[in-house]
Parts: sequence; C-alpha cells; structure tokens
Amino acid sequence: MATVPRTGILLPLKPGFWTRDRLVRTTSYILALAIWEITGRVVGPLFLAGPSQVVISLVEVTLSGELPLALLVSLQAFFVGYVFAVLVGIPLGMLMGRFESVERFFEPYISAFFVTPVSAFVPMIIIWFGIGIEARVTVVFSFCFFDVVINTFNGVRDVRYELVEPVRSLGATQRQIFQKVILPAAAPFVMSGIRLGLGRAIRGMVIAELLLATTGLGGMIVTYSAVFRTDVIFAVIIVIVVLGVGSVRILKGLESWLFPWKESSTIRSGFEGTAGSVPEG
Amino acid sequence: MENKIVLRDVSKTFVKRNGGAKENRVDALKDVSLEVADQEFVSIVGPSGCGKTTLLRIIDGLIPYDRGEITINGRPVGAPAQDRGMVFQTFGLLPWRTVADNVGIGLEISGMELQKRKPIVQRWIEVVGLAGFESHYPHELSGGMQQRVGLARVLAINPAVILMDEPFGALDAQTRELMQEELLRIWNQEKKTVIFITHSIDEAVYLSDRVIVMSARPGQIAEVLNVRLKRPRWNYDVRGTPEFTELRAHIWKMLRQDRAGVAAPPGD
Ligand SMILES: Nc1ncnc2c1ncn2[C@@H]1O[C@H](COP(=O)(O)OP(=O)(O)OP(=O)(O)O)[C@@H](O)[C@H]1O
Ligand SMILES: [Mg+2]
Repeated sequence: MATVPRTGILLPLKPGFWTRDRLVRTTSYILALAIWEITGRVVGPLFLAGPSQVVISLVEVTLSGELPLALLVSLQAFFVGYVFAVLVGIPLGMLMGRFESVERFFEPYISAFFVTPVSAFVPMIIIWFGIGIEARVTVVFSFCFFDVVINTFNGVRDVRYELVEPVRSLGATQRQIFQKVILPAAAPFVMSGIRLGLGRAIRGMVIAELLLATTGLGGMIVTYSAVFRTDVIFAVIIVIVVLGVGSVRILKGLESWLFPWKESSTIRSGFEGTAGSVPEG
Repeated sequence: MENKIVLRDVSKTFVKRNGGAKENRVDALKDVSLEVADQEFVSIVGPSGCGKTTLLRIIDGLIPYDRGEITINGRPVGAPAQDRGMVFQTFGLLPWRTVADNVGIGLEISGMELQKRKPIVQRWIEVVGLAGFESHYPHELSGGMQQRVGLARVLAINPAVILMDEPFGALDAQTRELMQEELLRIWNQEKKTVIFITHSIDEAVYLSDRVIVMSARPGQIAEVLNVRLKRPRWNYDVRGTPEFTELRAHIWKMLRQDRAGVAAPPGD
C-alpha cells in the first residue's frame, strides 16, 4: 500500500510537520470551532455562547478564583473515591481471579452493580451519607470501582496456560508463578481498569455535584445555568474535558512506557502490517 | 551402563465429569514401559491424540500419573525440578521478558543471583546463535529464534534430561533442518539425554538412536526401532542411505495401519 505522505503542501512551516493525520485533525478543530462560533452568534449567548466568549469567561472565573476553588473541591472527592476504588479493587480482582471460591462469592454482586446505572442509587446515597463529601466520595467510588475489579479479575483469570506451564516446568513455586507470570501478564489489564476507572470517576464526580450537592465544578454548572450563563457553563465543561482527556493521556503514556512488549500485538499495528487485505474469518 | 530414565507400566486416564454421574474417561496411556539410556536420543512418533504430550508432561512432573513407576537415575520423579527440562511446541516465552531474561528465568527461580546468572545466560544465548539479540522481546523474533530461546532457557538450568514436545513443528522446512542440526551438535557436546516428540518420521529417524512408535486408544508403545546410522549425521547425505529409507518406510506403514484401525467404527 502507499505510504502516508510525510510532507504537507499547505503551510510548509517545517518540512515534515504537516502530516496527513495532523492536517485532518487541525481541519476538524477549525471547522468545529467555526460552526460553534457562528451558531452562537446566530442564536445568541443565552442559548449558546460562542468559543470566543467562553474563553473570555474562562479567564474571568479563573482569575476571580471561583473556578480554581471549585476544581479543588471537586478533586478532593474525586481523589479520595478513585484512589480508594483502585486500592480495594485491585486486590479484590486479583483474589477473584486467583481463587475460584472468591470469584463465586463476589461475582453476582459485581456483575449486578456493573450494569446498574449508579445514578439510580443517588437517593439512597443521600439517605445514607447525606450530601457532604462522604456522599460524593461514595458516588465516585461506585462509578469506577467495578471497572477496576472486573478488568483486574479478567487479567488474572485469563493468563494463558502456555505461559504458566513452562515456568512451572522449571520448578517454580506457586508464589513464584504468581510473581513472575500471573502478575506481569495481568498488569496491562489492571492498567486498563485503572484508566477506564479514571474516566468513570470523573463522570461520577460531576454527576454527584449535579445531583446531590451543589458544589465544585458540577455546582458551578448548576448555579450558572440558573442565570443562563452558557459561557461559564462551557468554560467549566472545558475544564472537565481537559481534566479527563489529559489524565487518561498520561495513563496511556505510562502504559506504553511500562509495557513496551504489548505495543506490537494490537489490532491497529497488525492492520498496518497487512494493510489492504481484510482479515479472513 | 545404568539406565537413566525408567518407566514401568505407566498408565494415565483422564476423567472428566460433565456434572452428575456422567463421566467421560480417556485412557491416554496404558502400561507404557520404556528405558532410556544415559545420553541417548529417543524420538516418539504416533498418531495425534495417542498420548505423546501426556507422557512427556508426566515425565516432567507437570501432571500426575495413575499407575506404574517412573525413575530418573533410580530416583522416582515428583513435581517438576531442574534435573529435567521441557521445550514446548508453542515456545511459551514470557512476552514481557527480553531474550536474556527469558533464558535466565530457570536460574532466577532456583535463586541464583543476577551476577552469577549473567555469564551462564550469555553462554547459552551464544550457543543457540542468538548473540546480539539479548535485549530483544519475543515478539521481535522469528519463530525459529523464539524456539532457540526456548531451548536456551532449558539448557541454562543444565538438566540431565531434555524433553522436547514437537519443538520444531511450527517452523518452516529450512529453519527446521537447521535447528535439527544444531540440536544434534548441542546434544553431542553437552551429553544430554533427550526424549523428542515429533510428527515427522524423517525428523525422528534423522535425530535419534531409537524411535518409539506409539499407537492410540489407549496410548501404548507399538514398536521400538533402533537407528544405527553413523554419527555425526550432518556431514553426509544420511537421508539418501538405504537404511534411512527403509526405516522411514517401515514407520510410515506402521502409522498408517494404526490410522486405519482408529478410523474403523468404534464398537462400544
Ligand atoms: N488435560 C486433559 N484433560 C482431559 N483429557 C486430556 C487432557 N490432556 C490430554 N487429554 C486427552 O488425552 C489424549 C492424549 O492427548 P495428548 O495431548 O497426550 O496427545 P498427543 O499424542 O500429544 O497428540 P498430538 O500429536 O496431537 O499432540 C487425547 O485423547 C486428549 O484428548
Ligand atoms: Mg501433543
């Protein structure tokens, strides 16, 4: 197949900078911003503030200290809930993967909670925990806990026999097998759980602030929507998006740094190797 | 000479319970007796499912057997230990470990410290011809190279006995011949006892002192053939000799008869 051209014809800033991928991305951003701005001007800021207005408001609420404070409040609940979910979820997932009886014991609840929308439990959470930080921590925790458990569990349980047997053949003890085979084999799955859980934790954080306690970033959205300040609402949303995308990016980078041996076996890279031919089957 | 590996009436039945009283029994091995001499190279051929892998895994200690007795140098075999090593058909390398770390894992398991492991690992990497690839990951290697790592991993623990389960089955014909020749060189130099499973009659005859032909259901030894071809076998056209051709034809006929027997409708 033809290789992707590495030098652009538009804007020859630096030869090699404008790859096709970059061009597509940039065009997409410019188009989206333009449509947003034009729509904003047409319908008016009461319905939809344009990006230029949003940026101005973003700077304003940042400088006034309102946004940083809200961010701090949000991150507290997020951090406690997420870290707690990871610290409890990984050992539980490992025990479930390692011992069938532990799996039997916990599996029904894990599956049930995993498919139930956590928002449905919000009234109960208010009854049990009130609307303080404990309640928000609980929501964050229950949003991301099951991703961590299930991914860890699957990672440990599905370690391939062909990996274990040769190490056993060399006289390894059960403990050595766990350390040298099962843990490293499961590690990428555990990381996926941590990463997926992160995105869900952020969602949980905002939802808790929208539904049960008017505080933090979610609280700002509630407050400003009462006075139709769509510019501030978007400013907050941008912060949430940057927070989510940014932290997931960091974790992804961490993953490929930690597991360089995983890189080559993804579908994407396999595709490049056999580009043009559709896999049979 | 004292016999290195002795199997006496070894039997193994796999029992699978499909819930309730219903049982599924497979007689994988029935009364298998075999003696393999010190530094002997023995190959096992037989139809698919006749219990070759099962036999090897039992000798290695990976699975228990039901009846009989197995001793290596007079000591009964138990759980897997480093007096014997196994090379697997699917290589079984740990993908997160480099070549050097895969080769060194046996020594690591036995508790040898890194500084002492290093020269040993390096030596075996060189013996199997992988010098320069120490820090490569398995996915960066060809199939033949991966199996060299699998072989070096076992050689590094310096076992008296090497068990090989179709180690070259996944390789192309050319790589396979190369690996056969190298295996013979290493075997000759290191004085190991080898039990080698293969589907290739040609490979069995080329490598071995004796070829064991197994039959299926239940897995039994049907015939033991001595291969008296002159060694070393890589410096003359051993495959062109009349003895080679004769042996190959004989084994081929035996396996074919067995297949015909199995293909007949089972009278249970
Ligand atoms: N763990 C197991 N549980 C149940 N049955 C098994 C198990 N392992 C092997 N068997 C059965 O035992 C018989 C012998 O299997 P084995 O793998 O030893 O055959 P093989 O001679 O190595 O075959 P192949 O040449 O295809 O590798 C087969 O019928 C197989 O289905
Ligand atoms: Mg087999």
